[in-house]
Order: sequence, then C-alpha cells, then structure tokens
Amino acid sequence: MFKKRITDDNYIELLRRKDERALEYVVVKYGGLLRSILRNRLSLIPDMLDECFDDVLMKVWEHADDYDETRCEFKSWLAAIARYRAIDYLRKARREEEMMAGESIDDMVTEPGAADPRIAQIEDAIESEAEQMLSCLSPKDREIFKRIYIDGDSIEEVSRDMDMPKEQVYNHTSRSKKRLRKIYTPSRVMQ
Amino acid sequence: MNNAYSILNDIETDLSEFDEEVLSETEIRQINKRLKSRIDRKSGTNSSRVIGNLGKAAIIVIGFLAVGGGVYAASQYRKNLKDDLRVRATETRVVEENGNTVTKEMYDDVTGAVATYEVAYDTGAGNTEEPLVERIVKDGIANAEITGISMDYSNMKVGVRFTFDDEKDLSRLKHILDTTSAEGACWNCTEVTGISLETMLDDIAFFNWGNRYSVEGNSLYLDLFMDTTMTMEYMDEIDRRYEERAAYLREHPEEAEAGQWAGAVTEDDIAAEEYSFSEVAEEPSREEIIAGRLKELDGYKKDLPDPLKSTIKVIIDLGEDYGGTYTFTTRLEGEFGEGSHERIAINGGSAELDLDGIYETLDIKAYSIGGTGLKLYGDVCNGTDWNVYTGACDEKNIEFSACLRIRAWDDLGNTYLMLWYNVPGDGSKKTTPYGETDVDGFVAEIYDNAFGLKQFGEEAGINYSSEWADGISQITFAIEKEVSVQDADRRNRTAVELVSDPVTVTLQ
Repeated sequence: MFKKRITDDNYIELLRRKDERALEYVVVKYGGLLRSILRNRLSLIPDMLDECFDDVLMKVWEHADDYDETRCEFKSWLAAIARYRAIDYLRKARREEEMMAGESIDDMVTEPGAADPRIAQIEDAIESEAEQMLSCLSPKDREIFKRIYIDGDSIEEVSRDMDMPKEQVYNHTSRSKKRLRKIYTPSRVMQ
Repeated sequence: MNNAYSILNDIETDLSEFDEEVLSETEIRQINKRLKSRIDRKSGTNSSRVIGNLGKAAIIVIGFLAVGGGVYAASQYRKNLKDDLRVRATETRVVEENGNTVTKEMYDDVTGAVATYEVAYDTGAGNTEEPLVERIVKDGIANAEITGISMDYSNMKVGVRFTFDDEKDLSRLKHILDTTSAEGACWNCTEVTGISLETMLDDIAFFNWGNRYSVEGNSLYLDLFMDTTMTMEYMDEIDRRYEERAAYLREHPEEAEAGQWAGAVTEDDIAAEEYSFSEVAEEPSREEIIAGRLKELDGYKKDLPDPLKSTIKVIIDLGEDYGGTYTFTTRLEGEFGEGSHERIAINGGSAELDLDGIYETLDIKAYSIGGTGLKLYGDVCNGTDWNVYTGACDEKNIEFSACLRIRAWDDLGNTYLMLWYNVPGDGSKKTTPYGETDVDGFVAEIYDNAFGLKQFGEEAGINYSSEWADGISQITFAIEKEVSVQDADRRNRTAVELVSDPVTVTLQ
C-alpha cells in the first residue's frame, strides 16, 4: 500500500501523527533556514550547531501539537524554537565557561568569569536574544515590562504615566512574567 | 497556553535577516539518521515501524536442530557488502519534481541502505504547470517506483512498481501477461505484449532474463534480473557467430558429420559447443578454441562497467494505454564493505541421493546473513555414473533426473527454494557406490528466477517466494530430494520430499 505522500498540505498533520516522513520533510524544506538561524545565533559556539539543530527538530517532533497555524506560519514557529533553544545552548556554554574559568589559577583571586570576555560575549548574546523574544508580549505588556524590568521605573510611575490602576499594572507584569518564564525555563524542566 | 512551545507561536522573527543555507543530500540523510536514532532512544523501544523491522530482521539466531545437531546461538547483523547487498524500499519519498522527472529516495530499514532515483515520464501529458506527481494520477499514468535493488555477485535485481489510479483497468494487461507467460514467453516480448524493456549500466545495454511480473489490484510489479557480465552486444555477437557457424556447416555438412567441431552436428549441438566468440574460418583445436574464448572473455570482462559505480538505467515502455515510457535512473550509493559475511558453523543436516547411477550428497555446515538474506554453505559430492544412469533409462524406457536442493519456510507462511552451486573443496575425496570422487564445497542461496521458480513451483505444488520477506521471526530449512521422470509417452511426473531434519532459524 502506498503511504500518503507528504506535501505542504499535510506535513503538519502527519507530524502530529508522528509520521517520521513528515519530520524528514521539515528537514528538507526548512533545514537550510534552521541552520542559518542557528549559525547566526550560535556563532560563539559553532561546535554546538549540529547538536542544537537536532535538538530543535526533536522539539518540533515532540511538540507538534503545540503549533497553532492560526497564530503563525510554521517556519516562524520553527524559528522561535530555534532561537529559544539557542538561548539554552548559550546558557549552557556560559556555565561551562564559568566552570572552566573558576578552575584557573587567575580566577582563584577574582570573581569567576568576571573578566572573561567570552562569558561577557555570551551574556550579551543571551540578553540580545531575550530582548527580541519580548516580542511574544502584546505591545502594552511589552512596554510595561520594559519600563519596570529594564528601565527600572516603579509601578506607581507606570500607573501614573499610563493612566492605569496599579492593580492592572501588576496584572500586566504578572501575565508577562508568566509567559516569559515559560519561554526561559531551562530546557530540563520543559522536557 | 500550556507551555513554552505554545507561546512560541507568538514570537516574531524577521526571517529576512537569514540567508537560507542549502543542505546537501548527504547532510539530509545524516540528519535524518540522527533524528531516527534520537526518536528511537526517546521512545525507549523500537516503536517506529522503521526501526522495529530493523531490530527484528537484523539479527538472526539459530534455534534448534531436531536430530543429530544441537542448540545453536549466534547473531549477526544483516549488512550490505559489495557482493551481497540490497536496498529495498521500506520507505519512499518524493525529493523533487522537475519537468517530466520525479526524483525519489528510498530507504531500506533492514540493511540501512539508501538510494535516490529518478523516474522520467515520457507520457506526452499536457499540463506542465501542475506538479507532475499530482498530474500523473489524474492522467491515468502510473505512479512508478523502484521497490528495490539488490546485487548478488554479478546478478542485479531491480524491482519496480507501477500503481495506477482506481479508474484504470489492468485486467486486459493482466490477461495479456498471463497468456504470454503460459505460452512460455516473457512479459517483455514486445511483439506479443507491446511492452519493451532495456536494462543498462552507464548507457550500455545488459542482458536481462527470467523477469517476474505480477498484477495486484491496480499495481503492476516487475522484478528485473540483469546479468552485469553480459552485455547485449556480447549476446548479439554470440548470435551472429552462431548463425555464421550454422550457415557454414549447412554448406559443409561433411565437417559436421565428421565431428570436426567437437560433435557439432545439429544446430543445438552448435549452440552448446560454439557458444562463444570463436572464429569459424580457421580450424583450431578444441583446446585452442577454449583458450581463445577465455582470453576474449577476460578482455571483455575488463571493459565492463562496475555496477556499484555506474548509472543504472531501466527503460520500460508499457504502451500508450499504460502511460508510455518510464525511465528509471539510479546509482547504488554508499560504501559497501569488501569480503564476505561471517559464516556461522552449524550442523545443518545432511542427505544422500543414490538413484540408478545418480549419486549426490549434501552436508550443510554453516550459514550467513547478508544483504540479500540467508545463505547456506557446506560440502557436496557428485559421483554420478553416467553409464549406470543411461543403462537404467534404457532398461526402463524412461528419462529421469534427480537432485538434492534445499527448501526453506518462514513463520509468515512463505516458502523458498534454495539452490546450490559448487565451489572448490579442500581436496578431500569420498568413496561412493560408483567409485571415488572429489568433495566440493557449495553455496546455497534463494532461487529467484521467475521462469525457473514458476516451473519448480508447479512441479512441487509449492508457491515459492522469490525473496526473503521482511518481518520474519523464524526460518526453517531442510534438504529435499527432487525426482522427475518422463515416461515413454513423454508424460512428466515430479516428486519432492524432505530428506533431512529441519533446522530452525529464529530472528530476533
């Protein structure tokens, strides 16, 4: 018997039904884009590229049910997963760098990693990526979140400037934190 | 929202900042292989069908021997080697469509081999804007696929399948093929069936024979057997020289009658004796003819393309009613190992045949599992006394033949015929009822030639399968004796019986 041929019209459905051919289809169709994203994001740790690449596709395989075609294109979801996983790999690299720095003689007298430019680079990459990832918030949530957690404004200031009750500001920030926490939760928790 | 992966639906990414890379076919295969492995590990079992079959069919263990043997346990992976490989399409997917050509990839979950091939449709179908794969279904042209390629020494088998849509009626095609086959002709006898076939390596046409066909539902299955040592040019040359020799002897019957050409009296004799490139204008000795023939053959073989490095092409014209000409083009990819598969020693049973001068013994001593499946090895002794045999035939006014061969059957209900061929022995001798004779080695493998298998099957009343099935849990084999007798009225009768204790092979 012939299996149903994988097409643009059915690969997501078959992915959800755990048809491995659908995952192969994703590799063929979006593998180039995925690698480009990861190469860009993981330029500091290129030796992790393949592992992260596979990891992203495994997440696609495991979480295909979470993809919502009414909210975005599949390749956007894939790109978001790639960026999310890239942050995780960068974090992991930072931890390893810090551990290695802590073991060196120089760092016996200074705070581990404090003067290590590579760690700083990795942190910058994480922050930069995290900044972009705020795009998952609504414009209003994003503005409130930025003012409070990035610019350092108080709840009162935000409440006054935005003509919004303090409780509502709390609600916005709480909702945003929940969403962001889900995204930035370490991978071992998500698995 | 339940988790991060749901929230990630709302993350915006400017994809225009990324220059999309191009993954090579090799990279894609490697990625898919890694992912398959991870999926399998993740599930904790071989839950996917792909890996499930691999695990099941890849390892073989000898189970028990009823009498005179013992319990054997050994395992061996079914890997491909240069002389023994297969790529059977457990999975097939379309890789690309371009014009009238579809590129597909097939994956064998037992041997792990992968092959990419193209199918070109010379259909003359009109709409070129619509994807070809979609179009062919509407146009009543078959979805053509390679079902498998295997190599066993110099024999290459290419299986293809044509699947038509439900509206296509294949009953007429089936009738033509059945009728042709019943009359002893092959399905690609163009004059009769309208179907033509060419099998090629690097655009050189090679001889194919014993090709199998079957029509199941709306699918036509063909197994093509290509002899990669025999070009069509070589075959044509043999025919030409045969005709030349025959014409010469018709003009010089005194030479034929004098037996000057090693008994070449009739055309059949000529075919038997002069089935070669030997020249006819001179009068060399028989030894010189043979020496020249071998020299010529050696030179010829040196020029043959290596099947593992050649472009394999199969061109089948099914006629206008069935989509016209389909051209399959592929190559056997991958680095295949040298040497032969490990032989596992067993007491696989033995048998002796002694019938009016025909004497044969078979002793199964080892088995191996290769890309094309199970093979058996052992000793064979053929000590037939032709004088005794001829005398018996004359006395009884019959003609008969007898031989030992091997029957195998699996737990899925399939039965297989394994025939053996001699290989050099260790120089030992055996005393038979008709004198002393050499003990040779033998290799027995599944017999898959369509013509022979059909005939053997009809004689034995058994429907033999032409290739080992996937998903087998057990294979049992035993030696069988086959005796065929033709009486004075030219009526044929064949009897087969098992003459050794069966040995069961358990697949894990």
